[in-house]
Amino acid sequence: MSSELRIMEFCGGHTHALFRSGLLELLAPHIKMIHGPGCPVCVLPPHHIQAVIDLLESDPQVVACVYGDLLRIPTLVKAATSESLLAAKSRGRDVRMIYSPLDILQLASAEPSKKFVFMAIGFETTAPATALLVKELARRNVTNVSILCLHVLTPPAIETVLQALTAAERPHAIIGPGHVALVTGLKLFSELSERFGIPIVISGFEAEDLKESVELCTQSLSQKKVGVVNQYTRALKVDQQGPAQNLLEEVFDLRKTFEWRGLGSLPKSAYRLRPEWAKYDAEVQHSITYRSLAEHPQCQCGQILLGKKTPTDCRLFAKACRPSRPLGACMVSGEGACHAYFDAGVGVGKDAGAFQ
Amino acid sequence: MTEIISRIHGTGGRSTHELISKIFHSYLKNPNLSSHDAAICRMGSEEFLVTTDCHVVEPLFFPGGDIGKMAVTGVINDLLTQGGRPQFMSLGFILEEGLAFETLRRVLESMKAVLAAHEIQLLCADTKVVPARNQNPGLMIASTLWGSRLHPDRKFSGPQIGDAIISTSFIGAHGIAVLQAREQLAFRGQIESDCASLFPLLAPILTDNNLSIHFMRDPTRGGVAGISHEICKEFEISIELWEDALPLRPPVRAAMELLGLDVLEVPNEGVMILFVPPSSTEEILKILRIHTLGAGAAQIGEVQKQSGSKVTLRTRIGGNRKVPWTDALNFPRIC
Repeated sequence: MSSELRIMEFCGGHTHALFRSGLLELLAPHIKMIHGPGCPVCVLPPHHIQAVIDLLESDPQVVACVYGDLLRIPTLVKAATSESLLAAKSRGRDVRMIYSPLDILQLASAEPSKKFVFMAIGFETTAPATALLVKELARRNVTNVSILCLHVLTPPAIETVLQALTAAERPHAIIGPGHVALVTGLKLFSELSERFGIPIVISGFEAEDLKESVELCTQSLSQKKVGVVNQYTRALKVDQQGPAQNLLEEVFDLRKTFEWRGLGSLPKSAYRLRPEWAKYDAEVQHSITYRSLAEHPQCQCGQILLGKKTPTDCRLFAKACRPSRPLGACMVSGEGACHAYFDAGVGVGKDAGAFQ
Repeated sequence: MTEIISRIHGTGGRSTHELISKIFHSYLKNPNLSSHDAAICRMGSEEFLVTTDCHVVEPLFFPGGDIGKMAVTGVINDLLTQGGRPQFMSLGFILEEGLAFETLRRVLESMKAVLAAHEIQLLCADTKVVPARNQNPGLMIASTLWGSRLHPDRKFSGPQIGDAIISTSFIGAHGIAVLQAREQLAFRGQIESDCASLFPLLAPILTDNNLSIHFMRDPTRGGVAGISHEICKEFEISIELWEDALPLRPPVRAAMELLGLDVLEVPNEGVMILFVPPSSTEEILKILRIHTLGAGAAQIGEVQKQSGSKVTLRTRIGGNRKVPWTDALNFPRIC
C-alpha cells in the first residue's frame, strides 16, 4: 500500500479540468488532489466589487465593464439581501460584461459622455491584456476610460499557502499553471520549489496534460528530486520571461500589500498602475475607497482557498449556498472549488436537487 | 424571505422546473395537462395536437434567425415531438413602446416565410403595447400551433432501456450565436444559429412504417443536459451521454472553450433528440445525414436503467462524471 500523496493543483482552471474530464476519479486512490487558490474571482475580496457598485450608485455616467463571472459575486452588504453587480444591473445601473479589455475602446468611443471603469482582475495571464488597454488608451488619447487594477500574482499566493499549511496538510508536490509560466518564466517557480523543497510541475490544461503532470509529480517524488519540471513544452519551449513581462513592467508596479480572500494581506502580491499612468487609474480618477465588508459568517471560502478545508467541510455547501444563489465566491466561479464539487455531485445531497 | 421571480426561473433548468411544479401546478394542474412540449387534444373521436410557446430573445435579430422565425419554427418543432403536422396557428404580440415599424415589418416578413413554406394557416392574433424595458424597444411573441398526426398510428411509448439517443444535428450553435450577437463578442468569423423547422427532416422518418422512434424532444432552453434531466425524472431512467460523440462544429467548440461554457447546457433551435431502439438506429442516422439539416446527426448516448446518477457523461479520456441539472446563469468565465 502506498501512503497518501498530496498534490496541489494551484490553478482553478486545473481544478475545473480535473472534474470535467473525469480524471479525478481515474487517479490512483492514494493520490489526493488539494485545490489551490488560483481562481481569480474567488480570491478577490467583496469590498472591491462593492466599491464599484457604490460608484455606479453615486455617478449615473459610470459604466462598469467586467468579466462575466464577477457579476454574481455576492457582496453581502445586508445579510438578508445579497448585493452583487448583477443586482445593480437589474436596478438599472450600467454594468457590461466584456470578453476582451480592448473591446472597451469601441464602447468608449461610441459613448463619449459615459465614464467607463474596467474591473481588471486575474493573475499574470490576464494582466497583459489590461496593460495593452492602458497603452492603447494613451496612444488614442482616450479620456473616458479608467482601470481598477486588481491583478494579483501567483508566486506570493503559492508561498502563503505553503507557509499556512501544517506539515500534515502541506502538498508533496504542486502542479503549476502553464499560462502563468509563459508570462513569468520558470525562475520564480524554481525559487519556490527550492525554498520549500517541493517539486513543481508546470502543466497545460487538457486532461492529458494533467494526467502527465500527476505522473511527473510522482516521478519527482520517487526520485526525491526538487525543482521545476516543464510539462507544457508545446507552448513553453524556452525558459525565459515572455515579452508580456516587459509590458507588465512598463505599465504596472507592485502594491505594497493587497488583501486576498482567504489568504489575508500579502505584501507585493498585486499590481497597480504606475504613477505615470495615473490618468487611467480608477482609484485615482474616481477617488475609490474601500469599506470593510463582513462575509457570510459560515462561509469557508478562505479555508478552502488555503487548501485547509474542502467544500464538503462547509455547512452551507449545497444547502444554503448553491450556484443559483451563491453565498461565497468559490461557488460563483466555474473555477471555484465549491462550484466544481457541486457540478460533479460531490457531497451534494438529494435535497439540493442538482441531480434530482 | 419573500420569494420573487428572478432570471434563474427563466433558464429552463431546475429552477424553471420547480416554478412549474410548485407554483403553476398547484393551481392549474389537471389530468389532461401535458408534461411534454405538445399535448393531445381529444374532441369526441377526433384527436389533434396542440402546442404553445412564448418567445423572448435579445437581440431580436441574430445570425441565422430572428424572433419571428423562432416564434414559428419553435412551435413547429414542439408539435413534431408528438408527431404533429403544423396546420393552424394563433399569435399574440406584445410590442414595446418605441419599436420601429420597420423592425416589426422585418419580424413579420420572416414569420410569413416560414408560415408559407409549411402552408400553416394563421387563424387569429392579438396585439398589445407595453412600456419599453430598456433603451432598445423590442417585442415578445406568443404562438400556438395545432395540427393532426402525420401518421395516425405514430404514438410515442417513451424512452426504453437500451435506446440509442440521437442528436439530429450539430449542437450549441444557437446559444453561441445569440450570445455573440448580444454581447458583441469580437470573434473572428460568425457562428450562425441553427434556428430551423425540423419538419422537412423528420416528416419522412415519422411517416415510415419501418422506422421506430420511442420518444423525442427538442433541446432548446436548458440544452441537452436540461431535457435529459427532465426525461430521466419523468420516465425513471438514467441517461449516459458520450463526450467524444457529441457533434460540435469546430468554431462552436472553440467558442465554448474560450468562454468556458458547457455545450450540454446551451440552447439549440434546430436540433431534435431522438430515443430510438437499436434496430432502427443505423437506418435513421443514414436518413438524417442525407438532409442538410441532419448533416451532424450522431448517436450521443444511450438510455440505461435508473441508477444514483441520472445523467452521466462518459468523458473523452474514459472517466465518467455526473452531468448537473443547470441551476445557474451561465456567464463566460475569465481566462
